[in-house]
Amino acid sequence: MSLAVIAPSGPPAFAVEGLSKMFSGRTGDVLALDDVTLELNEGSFTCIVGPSGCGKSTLLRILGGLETATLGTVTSRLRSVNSGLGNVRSTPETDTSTPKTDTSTPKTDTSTPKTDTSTPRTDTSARVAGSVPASAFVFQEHGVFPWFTVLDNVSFGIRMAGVGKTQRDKIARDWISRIGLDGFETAYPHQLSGGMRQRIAIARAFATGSPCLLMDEPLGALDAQTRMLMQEQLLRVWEADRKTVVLVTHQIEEALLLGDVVVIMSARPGRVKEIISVPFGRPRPADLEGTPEFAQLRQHIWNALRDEVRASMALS
Amino acid sequence: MSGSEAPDQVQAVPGGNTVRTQALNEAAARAYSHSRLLATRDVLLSIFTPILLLALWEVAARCGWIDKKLYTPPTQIAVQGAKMVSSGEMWRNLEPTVLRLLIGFILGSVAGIIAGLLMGVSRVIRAALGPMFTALYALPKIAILPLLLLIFGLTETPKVLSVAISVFFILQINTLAGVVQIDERILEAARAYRATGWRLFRFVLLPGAIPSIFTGLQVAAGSGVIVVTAVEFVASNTGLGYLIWNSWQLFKPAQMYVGLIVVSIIGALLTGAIVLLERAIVPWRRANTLKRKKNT
Repeated sequence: MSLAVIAPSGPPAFAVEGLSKMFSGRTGDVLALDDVTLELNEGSFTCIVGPSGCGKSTLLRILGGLETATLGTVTSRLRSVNSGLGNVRSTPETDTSTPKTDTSTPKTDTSTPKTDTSTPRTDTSARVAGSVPASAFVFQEHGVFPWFTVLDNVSFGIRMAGVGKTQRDKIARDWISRIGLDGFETAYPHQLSGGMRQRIAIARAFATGSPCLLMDEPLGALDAQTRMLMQEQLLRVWEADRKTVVLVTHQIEEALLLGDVVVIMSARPGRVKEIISVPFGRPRPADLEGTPEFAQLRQHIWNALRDEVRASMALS
Repeated sequence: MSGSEAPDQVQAVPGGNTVRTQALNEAAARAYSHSRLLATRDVLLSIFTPILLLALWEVAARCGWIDKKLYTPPTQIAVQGAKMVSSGEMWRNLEPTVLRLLIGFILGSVAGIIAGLLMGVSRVIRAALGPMFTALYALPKIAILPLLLLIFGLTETPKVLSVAISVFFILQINTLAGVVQIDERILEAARAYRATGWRLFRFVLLPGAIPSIFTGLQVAAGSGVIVVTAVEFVASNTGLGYLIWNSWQLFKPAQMYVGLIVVSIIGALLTGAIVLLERAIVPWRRANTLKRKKNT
């Protein structure tokens, strides 16, 4: 099994080594992840596919620090954007906190909240919980706050990071316009369609300026047509920015369309079954899905997945 | 040819399409005016049904179909009401009831909301107080009035406290439920964006619980009116509850009806004020709930 990863070279954003996760409950222990080893390059777009219940979401949550590993390490070289302290929030044992000199923040991103060091509220206490996190999450539309307007939803991440109102409004408006929600700044989520709500969730993550985005089936709840449009939009936004992206999906086509790398996971307990480098160039051509190479690769992935899906169906 | 409302289409597709656009607009306008008509009808029905019933009552009483002494005709109730207003008797009884209700309601709801929020945020407080409050909630609040009278004597305190206590439990339960029932996915998103401590409370937990808090306030408004009236029945010689009770003892049905009507108006006004307040501070709830997700 090759761990080599093509795509934008550079230092690995995440190095996952021997990662295992065990959930303990009244009904017994469940091994969600078993000895996962993986390297994700900075600026790469990685898609994780696998049968449901294979622990791919758990892996993502561990990468983002929402969950801790039972065994193994996650080393992240990404750092928080505005703390300058290597304030990566991930599993405790992995916080290497190397005060590295190489700047990993994307220079092209004009919206990176650089100036917010001037806000008086970013004192030491704010820095612990308040710096822009190294990775921002995109959940399904249900993670959008119903009591905030579109503007307040999009600026939520940077608001929590202590960015001042003028600055965060500017950043949020910029992202609202980039995802095509101009004119909806003061609308509430319940007034919008599912696709629009999903765009809010995506804009909220991008607006943080975090160098890494972790997406958990961000387009999973959308209908097929909206989903295709959103894939195009996501690609466009990402290609302008080149953040490190890890995207969990259950759609093989989506993984091939978006990703540089496709990680195939096995049925529970989740292991890395295969890592595939996607050979298509960027920007991805519009007719990509019609090409024989695409069909071949899709077939290849499906062949690898089929048994796993069957196994996972037997499990549940 | 009209179609000035859609000039683009007229230019793009000449000829028959304009006619179609016009037909479309007219059909849409008809559908709209029909729905307006139905809405107007609903309002009229809601106003005229009670008026009709009152008129029936009046006629029935005057014609002797029902006992005039027990079922005072509405016009006589109105006359009695006017008399009581001009003599000052109305205000003498209205003021203490409103004060007891409002003070008790505000004290009880503030305390209830704070208790509910604290229990929602802190697992320790929830574990310590939850079962006890649940047990106490089941106790009829009127039943502790004698105890309060024993402790505080025949003052205002037991009356206000009775209202406050009954309101407190309703708000505590609704507020706690509001915090606990916040969608797990919302909390996850909040956590992922590092919302902790005060900011988690201010931007996520509190707004998440507010709809439930307002439901509690509405329920508590009705409950508060019941309790204040009941307390005045037995332990007061002022207030609308006293007025109603006294009317029974002195056999003054007209006065009793006036008391009943004023009490229900107070309840309706309090509930209405809460609804207005909710509209003002919960703008995101106008469509009530988020659309359910279609699939997983």
